[in-house]
Amino acid sequence: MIIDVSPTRMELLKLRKRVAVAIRGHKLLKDKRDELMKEFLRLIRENRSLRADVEGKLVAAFRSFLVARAVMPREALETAIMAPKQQVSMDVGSAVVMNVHVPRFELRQEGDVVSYGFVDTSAELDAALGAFSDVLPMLVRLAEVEKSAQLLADEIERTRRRVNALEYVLIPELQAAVKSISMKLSEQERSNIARLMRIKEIVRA
Amino acid sequence: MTSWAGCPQGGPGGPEGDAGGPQTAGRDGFEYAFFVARIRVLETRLLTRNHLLRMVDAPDAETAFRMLGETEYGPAVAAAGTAADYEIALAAELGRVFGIIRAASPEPELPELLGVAYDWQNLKTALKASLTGRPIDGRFLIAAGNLDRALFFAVASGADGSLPSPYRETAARARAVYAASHDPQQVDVVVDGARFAAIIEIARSTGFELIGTLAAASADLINLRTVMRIRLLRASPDLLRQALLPGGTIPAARVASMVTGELDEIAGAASSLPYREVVSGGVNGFRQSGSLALLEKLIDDYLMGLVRDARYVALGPEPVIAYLMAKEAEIKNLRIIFTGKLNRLPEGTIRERLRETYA
Repeated sequence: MIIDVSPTRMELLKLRKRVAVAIRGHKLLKDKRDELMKEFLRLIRENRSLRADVEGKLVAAFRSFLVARAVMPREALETAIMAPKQQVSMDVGSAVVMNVHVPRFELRQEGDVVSYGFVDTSAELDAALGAFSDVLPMLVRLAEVEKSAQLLADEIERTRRRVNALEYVLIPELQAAVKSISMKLSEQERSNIARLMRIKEIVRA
Repeated sequence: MTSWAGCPQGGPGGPEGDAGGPQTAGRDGFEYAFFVARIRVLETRLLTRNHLLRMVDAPDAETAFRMLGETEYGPAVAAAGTAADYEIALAAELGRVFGIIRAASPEPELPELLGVAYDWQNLKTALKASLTGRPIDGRFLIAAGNLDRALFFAVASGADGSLPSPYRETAARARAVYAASHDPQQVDVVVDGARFAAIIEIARSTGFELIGTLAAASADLINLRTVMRIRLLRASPDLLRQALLPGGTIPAARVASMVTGELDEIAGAASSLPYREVVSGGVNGFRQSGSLALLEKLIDDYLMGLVRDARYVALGPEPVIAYLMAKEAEIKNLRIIFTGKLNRLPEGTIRERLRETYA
């Protein structure tokens, strides 16, 4: 897109201001993008290790539950876990990272995870439920990290587009417009001088 | 589910007990002559360990299910259709066995006593559904019990009046305890305690000594296992005191004191009892693996060993009780196999949890 403006000194001054603002904005956005990248990479690293950890623990917990399921009749298992004793609540808040609102979850587990008698149930069920209870806070943290990384990735993409738009479109066009106006004004200046010299010659003659 | 005791276990009079095996007092064993002969025939159809191991080695659950269909489970397997519905087949088989016992038992008290655990289990399910305001799922009420399932649907909707004693009193006590504590675990604790007291009382009053001794030993072994579980869970010693079952031979105060002591103390408590090897083996297994799986398997195996002694009783209710418990143990093994095969658990994991068989 070519900026269509009148080749006046006023416009030139305005455009020069816009170029300065665009360059400053470009630098700020680049800094923001770099900082977002840094935070994003930190979250990705945390996410990777957390996910591996959670998946390992979930596999172990499910296997443990399957073993409990195998040694207990279905009716006894269903009755045992029919009414939980543990209360789980979660506060949902948010934090601002480089102007991006990321979620913050705070999980609270109160009470015992074992909510059944000890006669018809297997100790393997205790182990399985304990494993699930242990993995729950990690799962919530994983959700928080993954959502934060996703929001940061969106923001990085947006910022990158803005940086590119400034760097490759707006600033070059503004600079081209400034150059064009400057050249036209110079041309007018030269033309004016030539005209004045010619008038001066006529007047002398 | 494992009959009246919740967890099959042994006790005095077992393999290391009286050499003469269990006896039935105050009963003319001749009335069981025909029934015992029939049980002897049925025993030959029980699955052997080789049957089970072949199923464990089957490439998939469907193949194992087809193998099961070639045994006396054939009609139940055909009705269930696929391996995923193995629970339907197992429930049908258990119902069939109970049907045989109910139809042929010379004493109506015997099948009633054998089915009483299912009534208590159903009561627990109905009470928990009622107290926590959850709808009761009919699939989780066991059909093999003595009481009509409609009674338990009524309990689930808050009407305990039609229940016979001692279920009605237990339900009232469980409701009162829950109202005070809002703790579903307390419902189980109340019902389990009442169940053991009732079974021991019925066994005593009807003269089924084998059941009485099994229940007493079960109480001991479940109590010792509960101590281990409470220690692992780091739960309150108060919970242990509440959860201890009546009717055992180890004093409750001694069991309760083990919650803070050394592990050896638990094995020591059983050192003078016939099931000492079960407890010491279980404690050692726990030390090595941090799991109570071995203890639970040894408890089941011990009971099976005890029940095998009933083979040597020529006339009386013992072979019937033994057959039913063998069938329940067999169903437990099949559940382990099919859950494992359907979920692709390693064969080693399935194999090490298989219980001893009667056959």
